[in-house]
Amino acid sequence: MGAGFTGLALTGLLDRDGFFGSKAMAAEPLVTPMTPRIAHLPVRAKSCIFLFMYGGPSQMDLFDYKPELQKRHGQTANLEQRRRNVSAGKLLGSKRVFRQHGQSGQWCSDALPHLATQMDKLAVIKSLYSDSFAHGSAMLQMNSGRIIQGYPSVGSWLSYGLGSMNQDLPGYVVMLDPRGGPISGAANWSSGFMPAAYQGTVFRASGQPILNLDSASGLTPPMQRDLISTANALNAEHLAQRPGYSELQARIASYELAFQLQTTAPEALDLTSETEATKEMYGLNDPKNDHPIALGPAPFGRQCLVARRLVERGVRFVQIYHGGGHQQQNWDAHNGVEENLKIHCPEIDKPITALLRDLEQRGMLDETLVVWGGEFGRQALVQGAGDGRDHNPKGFTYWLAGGGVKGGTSYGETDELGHEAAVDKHHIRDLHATILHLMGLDHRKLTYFYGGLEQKLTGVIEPEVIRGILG
Amino acid sequence: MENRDWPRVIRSLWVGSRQIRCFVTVVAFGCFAWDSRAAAPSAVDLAHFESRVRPVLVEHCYPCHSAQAEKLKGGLSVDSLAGLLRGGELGPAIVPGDAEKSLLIRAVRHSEADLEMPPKGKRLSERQIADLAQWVNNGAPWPDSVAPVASSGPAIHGISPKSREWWAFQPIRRPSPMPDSGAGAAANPIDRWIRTELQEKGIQHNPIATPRERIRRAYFDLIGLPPTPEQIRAFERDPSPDAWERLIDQLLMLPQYGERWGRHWLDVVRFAQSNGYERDGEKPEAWRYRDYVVKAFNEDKPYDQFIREQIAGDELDRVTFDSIIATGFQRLGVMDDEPDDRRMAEFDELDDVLSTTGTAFLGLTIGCARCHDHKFDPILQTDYYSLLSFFRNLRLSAGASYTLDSPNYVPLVEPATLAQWRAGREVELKGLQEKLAAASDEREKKKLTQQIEGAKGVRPPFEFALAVRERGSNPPPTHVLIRGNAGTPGAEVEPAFLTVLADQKPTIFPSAPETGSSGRRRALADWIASPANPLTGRVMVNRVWQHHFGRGLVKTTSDFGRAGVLPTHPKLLDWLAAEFIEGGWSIKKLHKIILLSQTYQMSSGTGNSNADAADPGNDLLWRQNLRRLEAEPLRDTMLALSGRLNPKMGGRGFFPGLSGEVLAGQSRPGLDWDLSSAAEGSRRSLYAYVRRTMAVPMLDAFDYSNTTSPLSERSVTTVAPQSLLMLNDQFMQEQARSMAARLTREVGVEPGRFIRRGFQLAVGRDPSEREREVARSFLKRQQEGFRLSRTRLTFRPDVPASLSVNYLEKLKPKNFLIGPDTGWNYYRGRWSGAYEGIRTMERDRGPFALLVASSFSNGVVDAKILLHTASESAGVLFRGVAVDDDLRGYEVSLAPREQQILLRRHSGESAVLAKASVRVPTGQGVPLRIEAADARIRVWIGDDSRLIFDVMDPQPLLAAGRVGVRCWGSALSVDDLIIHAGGVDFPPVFEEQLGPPERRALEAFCLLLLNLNEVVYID
Repeated sequence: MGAGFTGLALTGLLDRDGFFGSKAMAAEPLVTPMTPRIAHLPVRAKSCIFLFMYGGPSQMDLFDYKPELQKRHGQTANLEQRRRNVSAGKLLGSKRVFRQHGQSGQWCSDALPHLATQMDKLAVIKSLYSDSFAHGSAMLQMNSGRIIQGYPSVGSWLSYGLGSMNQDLPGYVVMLDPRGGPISGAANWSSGFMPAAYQGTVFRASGQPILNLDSASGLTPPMQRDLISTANALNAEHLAQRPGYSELQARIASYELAFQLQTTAPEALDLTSETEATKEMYGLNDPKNDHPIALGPAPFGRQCLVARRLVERGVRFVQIYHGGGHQQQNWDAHNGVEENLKIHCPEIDKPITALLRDLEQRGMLDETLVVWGGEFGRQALVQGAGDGRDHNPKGFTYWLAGGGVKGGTSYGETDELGHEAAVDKHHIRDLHATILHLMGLDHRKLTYFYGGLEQKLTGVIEPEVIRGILG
Repeated sequence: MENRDWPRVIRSLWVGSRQIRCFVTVVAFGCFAWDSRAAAPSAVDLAHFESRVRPVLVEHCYPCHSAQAEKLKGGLSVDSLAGLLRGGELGPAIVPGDAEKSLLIRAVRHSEADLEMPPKGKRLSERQIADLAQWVNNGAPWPDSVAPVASSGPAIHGISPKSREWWAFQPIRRPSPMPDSGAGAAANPIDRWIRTELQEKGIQHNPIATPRERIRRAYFDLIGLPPTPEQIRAFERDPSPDAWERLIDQLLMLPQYGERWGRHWLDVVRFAQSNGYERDGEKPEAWRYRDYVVKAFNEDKPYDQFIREQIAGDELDRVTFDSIIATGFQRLGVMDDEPDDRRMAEFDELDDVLSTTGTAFLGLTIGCARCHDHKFDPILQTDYYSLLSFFRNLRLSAGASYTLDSPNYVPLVEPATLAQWRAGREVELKGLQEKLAAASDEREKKKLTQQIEGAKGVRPPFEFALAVRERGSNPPPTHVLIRGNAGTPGAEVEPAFLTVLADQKPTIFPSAPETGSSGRRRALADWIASPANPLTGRVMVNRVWQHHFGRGLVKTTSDFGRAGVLPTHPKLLDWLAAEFIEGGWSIKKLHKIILLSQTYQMSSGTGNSNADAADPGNDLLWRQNLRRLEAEPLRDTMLALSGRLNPKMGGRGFFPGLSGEVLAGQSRPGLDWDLSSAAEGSRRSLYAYVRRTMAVPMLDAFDYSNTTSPLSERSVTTVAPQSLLMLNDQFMQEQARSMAARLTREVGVEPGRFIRRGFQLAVGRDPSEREREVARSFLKRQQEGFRLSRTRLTFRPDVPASLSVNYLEKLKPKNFLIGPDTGWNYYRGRWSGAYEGIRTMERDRGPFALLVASSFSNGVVDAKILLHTASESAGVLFRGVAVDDDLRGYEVSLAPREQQILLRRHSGESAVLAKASVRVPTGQGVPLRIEAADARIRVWIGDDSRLIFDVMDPQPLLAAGRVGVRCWGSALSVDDLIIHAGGVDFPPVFEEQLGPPERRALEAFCLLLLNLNEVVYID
């Protein structure tokens, strides 16, 4: 499916077949959708790893400490539960125990004991808000800036704006939870009105990473090599009679690249060269707990480790969806927040901690932006008979770490119940502008002409880069 | 900004209604010099104003300080420059050029007590304040076409004379005289224009293309399929002067013509069969609209009628089934069934209809005026809402319901039949009601009541169309929405056409009361479909031109406004439009005019260096353009060449097969997707079910249409995944195999003949001597390769680890594991749980296959195992039996990630009998030997035949069973499989399962042919 490749470096690829007319070879260098481009601004982060907590994690149970909410647990309050529906409900205080950590003294709950050791690396934004109470449109907005379908996702904008640093791998990789993809599926990594070349490529963290990378035709690699060489020999003669049509040349090169990909893509996923200590750190050997839906840290850990390997190889944007399917299979804690945390926190805790430490140890954290968050947060009110929490786009938490980010920052506040962003509040277009800014792009200059407009990721309302978290 | 920019502000004040006072105010700021060079505000200034200033004013100030305010506060209105300059109780709000002295700026800074706006601590952001200050310092430029956003009364202002002069708004006039290109009056008018222009620039045009090139071009352009070698030969040998014209006529008569050209139209109207968003539910019957479009093109329905039916098919004098189905046009958009804000969602859906109407028929980006006046074109925000009011009476958000008063489904039935059915039902209901009245028994009463309810709810026994039905003859009012926000309605508007195009008011005749329609859309349709409309004809002829030359005379085929590109040949465009309209809006006639021109028939060669240097972009059309096939003709061509193309037309469509990788992206993998038979799956791509959140890779990879909003030009990208797909995809493998079988049927397997016929089919010509040579040696090498690996059986898992229950049930066992077609039985493995309707494969108990002819109890299995890269687990099974798709028997399973080999016994439960740490390499063959003798099981592995397991199973499974394989993650190949049992060796009959090397080499050659550039690009 996805694309996001190319960069069809042609030199030397074809003469081994010996059929090339000199005319064809004299063509101009190819400019492709993925040719690297100059950034508008100083580049603080070359790559971005977006850890997408699908379903909407509960801010008041993880990072946004609300003693007042805990104190008023069980009391009645009037809050906006769905759009314009302000009604009474019972407050649900967090059962988690919060502590301050590190030199920065940032709060983190005991649901994430490992990540708590990394708080000095994180800039935690507690005052984000967005426009939709529903998963489908909220997911679209988090990925594309709009609650309506059809707009390019952040990764597409980055690929379009910056090109790719590795022409042998996709520039924009998406990894999915083994339990399934997120709601709306591929619309979340779509390139919208941009060419399909900019859409995310789904990279399976296990098995063959890319669609059609493996063939059941029974052709061995040398036989397939032979097929490609022969086809391109014939294609070269065809091209020689049609000089000047660079697309013919590009297609010849795309076959060579396809052949290479069959080696480079699995190599990026092959963890056998990683040390035991590294695998241990990412939780690859840890068992899952006894909850039937839980997976334990190994699958997400593997994806985080693959993300590091991809970024090392120059992939621009990696998005990992943690949580798939529906309800408790992801962070959508309608049916009980404690159970939800018990399922999902151990799945991400060690892997993310390891990712941050690993990037730091390798000197990569300074040029890699790590983003954590979901499509919205959750309500201060209880939902259902147990301890469920409903969706809440009015106030939620994201954290950023790495390139250009001031670690150990706590930025913004929700109200005393954790329900609505109150201090230094930011719409998520501001988060998008900030991500672009850190990647070296000016949200005003990054435009794509479509439908009569210079379209922007951040839309028509002017966003504000969240300067308080910049290093 | 300097003073010289000032006068434009003053000039702009003369446009509004309160001009005199404003003028006085301005003169009072006499410090600014008057400059007679009254330039229009620069685009940069306007952009700044529109993007940074006006939105802030509207959002934060209008509620209290504009015509929209319930009560104007402080006497200040900020919705016009005049209002700002006049100011309120505290005096003028701004001093252009001096932010520091401007009350507005001081107020928004919140730096002085009692002067804080917006009030109550709602301070603007620093950025917004800075933007306002910058705007004031720049002299407060205000666009001159501005309409007071919330003015009362109809909009009749704000269009400058200059913007009326834009070329596309001028009436279409048949240009005269025709240019003389030297070829005389007999020449095709297209050539006269094109060639005159070329002559003026001294550019030599290309010669006519070869007959083969021309016939291929015509076939792909008109029907989207390749000609057969026989058709090419017949055309090449036809010396008659009208051979070309006859060919065009024949093609235009084929039903495939409508399939090809209908698809172009479907792009423009964002066709899809589902709603999009979270659930992406089906829009039942949407396919009828697709079939209507195909039929309309095939029947050469006059384009004006085509427009009327789509916009107002239910309001026409003569309503037909087709015209009802045509109104499905208004139903095709995305629909969020769980919108965050229902009020906004209603207008999002109306916007979809209006924007699509503007784009598709008028080539205007009307949607840009939803929140403010259009930035480039003279389309006022009031125009947008006036146009929206034509559709205001629709109920788009309604869920699907098949009832007689449904807002979105209309029965396709003759009125008499409907009346008859209604009468019958009333009799039935009346009977039941009478019985109910007479009944005394409670149970009887309950039963009858249920029967009555049931009878009322019964779906009428007719076919239904996805269509529109208005809510009555009195539409609700339409208001301008400030900033496009449904929560802030402004002035009410009435239906009106674009101010810049028309001063006349629409004449609206409500339809008969029983149809409950306002008649508004009819008025709009008549205006759009009028010969006098300057856009409609031009836009459509340009679209047709686009698909014959690869791009339009106006390159931006859906934007004829100022943000679009000027026509390269404006007079030719007008001549074509005039011909088109006067010729009765016939699209087929238009095709003929274009295709009969020499210009169309020119070669696409680039050898003309003089022309290439003068006009490298070919704007002047000195050559044809080489074009890549779009996704659908590309896939259809594969089917045509393989001989599998199923020409069946119409209906809901088929579901292309999806690989496991693709399914894995869904939150409920496979939900709402079906499996189609091989024959269905070989239909034309037009009939592939269009689900908004499920892009079909074979189409998507080749830049398929955008299903969300209108698409007028497909992109053409060239990326590696396309090549992976063309080489490895299951669909391509099948086509290559079928093509080889077809060629074998037609000419046998002798390489010379096979190669020749293969080239003829694929590219419509004989191979050159050199090509023959290349192909022959390729065949030889591939044969040798297949001979060396002729005992290699490969199995590849093709499902994700989670599947929705209903899709899992639909899948056949063979879909789980792809392997040899014969000789093996396939099983799904164990899938458990049903959380949220999703089942998950149990690790180590996934899909497997058993070799049919391999049953034994005691014996030896010898094989070479090859795990493909990225393999997660693989197993060799013996004494295997399937019970409910689960394995009973033994398994030697290899776990390359964990670097382990295990011996497992599956007896309902799975038990590990032995385990060893062994590095299991991927990508290379590893010898494996298994010996089963009653309870004793021994396993040897590696080139040195190391014994790794020697186990006595305490609870042995002794019954005979089969040999099998299982794999997960990626493929497993088994080489040289031999079974020794009962004193005999029986290797599987590989050739039966895989085909002989000679045949497989021919298949590989066919795959090669299908991958050639010459197949994919049309000269």
